[in-house]
Amino acid sequence: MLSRLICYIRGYLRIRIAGYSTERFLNACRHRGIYLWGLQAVSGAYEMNISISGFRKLKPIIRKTRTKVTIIKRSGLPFYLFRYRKRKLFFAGAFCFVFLIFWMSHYIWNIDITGNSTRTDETLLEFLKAKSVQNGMAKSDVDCQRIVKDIRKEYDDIIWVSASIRGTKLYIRVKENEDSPSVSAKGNPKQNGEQEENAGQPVDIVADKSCIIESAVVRNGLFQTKIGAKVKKGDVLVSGQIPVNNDAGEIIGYQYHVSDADIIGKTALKYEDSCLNTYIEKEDYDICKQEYYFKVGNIRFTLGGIQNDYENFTLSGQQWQLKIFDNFFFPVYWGKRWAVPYKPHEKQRRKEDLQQILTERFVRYCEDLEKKGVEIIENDVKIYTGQNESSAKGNLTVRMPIGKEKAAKLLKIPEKKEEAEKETGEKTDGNDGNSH
Amino acid sequence: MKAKRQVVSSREEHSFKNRLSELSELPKDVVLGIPMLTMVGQMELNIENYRGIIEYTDSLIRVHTKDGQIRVNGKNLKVEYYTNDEMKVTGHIVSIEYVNLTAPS
Repeated sequence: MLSRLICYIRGYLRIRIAGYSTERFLNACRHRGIYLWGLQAVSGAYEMNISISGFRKLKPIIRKTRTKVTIIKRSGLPFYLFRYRKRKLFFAGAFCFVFLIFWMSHYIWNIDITGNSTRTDETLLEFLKAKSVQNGMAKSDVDCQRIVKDIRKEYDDIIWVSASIRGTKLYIRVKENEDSPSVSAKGNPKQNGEQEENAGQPVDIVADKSCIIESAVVRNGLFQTKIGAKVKKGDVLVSGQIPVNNDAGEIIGYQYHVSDADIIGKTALKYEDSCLNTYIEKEDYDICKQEYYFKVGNIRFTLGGIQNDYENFTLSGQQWQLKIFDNFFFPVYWGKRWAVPYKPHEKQRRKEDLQQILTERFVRYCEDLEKKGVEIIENDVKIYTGQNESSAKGNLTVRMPIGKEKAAKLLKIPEKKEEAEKETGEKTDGNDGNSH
Repeated sequence: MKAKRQVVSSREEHSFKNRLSELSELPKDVVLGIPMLTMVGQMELNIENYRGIIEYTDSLIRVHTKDGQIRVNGKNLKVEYYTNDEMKVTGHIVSIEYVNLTAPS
């Protein structure tokens, strides 16, 4: 395949050799290193392919062997270009093509992310976009080291990142920490970033809800309350400042820590939900107005229309965006919109239906809470049916993780006391001196 | 004829170059300059170490080698390429004959 391509680019001829000693011609060609291929015997003569440079060397051989050479066909790029030499636009196009390929190969055309299972490609791409790493950027502007550092800094659960450019594609490989629990359990990554920034500063855990403390596992910091104690929102549960006492039991300083603890508290959550007793039933007319459109940037070309004289109609649409590879989107859209007019009828909901709707919503709410690690101990949510709307109201008693991290207010070392003591000491010394 | 062939083969076997190639474990086609033929089924034949084409038609190719001629009989025979080192014959090959073998010098 490759040799054929090379032959095509260099150009070759199909020639016919006829005469007395054609075999001698072949041997002479071989002797002079002229490459022949596609040799075929055709009614007393030979047909073969020969390169242009080989053909130029044939003259003495032809004279010596007294053979006759006829060119049957000229093939290859040099002949093709010669034939169309007057078509200037064609050459301009060819030049443009080569130039575009060359120019476009200086940009990133695709970002390939692999190894991520808890974070989606979209999340990472959005983050990279915020750091101005995106499709269409110049390859020279990509700083792989910077990308690696940024990702490592932003996401704590990603323990290894590699970024490399191959061709026009930016490859990002990540390795996630499989041992760590879910990402959201410890708050969003921004907080983690803040933690890093606050390194060396104490961080407390404060109550984010009024509750009764049920259990506490403190890994770092000083527990400030007791099991069974009632705490209010904003109370410090675990302090990041651990006092250092001297022999006399006086505080002489504080060790700063970033508090870390799992605290479970019992608290009450208020639940309220409502639903209208009536609903609107749509009776569709047998009409459908359709519109096809094509959008480039803000310019829109449409075919058909959705305008109608009806008061109510349902408008639906479907849109596609032009993209190459998996994630390189162009601002070119096409799609379809359609409007179906309808006649609204107000209808009363049955009591059972209302109950079912409200119950389903409540069950979904409970499920969401359980996913967050909240244990529901008691609930007194009841459904009240009114004239216009029905509602579900009540309180839930739950056992849930309590506490959020907060930068601690620095405590002052009680210096005044020491100073006062020093002063009194001096006085006593003085007194002693006097007595002697 | 049979007796002569046997003589030839025994001479070939005992020649100095042959012994040398056997001792040095060098390939015989390089040391002795004898033709090397490689066949793929009945449709492809590679000939190396040849001197030239004596006759070529679509049913017979006669190739001149150091020790004599090689006759390739077949149908629709075509020379795919033809260089200083080797040639490739394609088509339906029926038989290959070695003729006019002489004793190696």
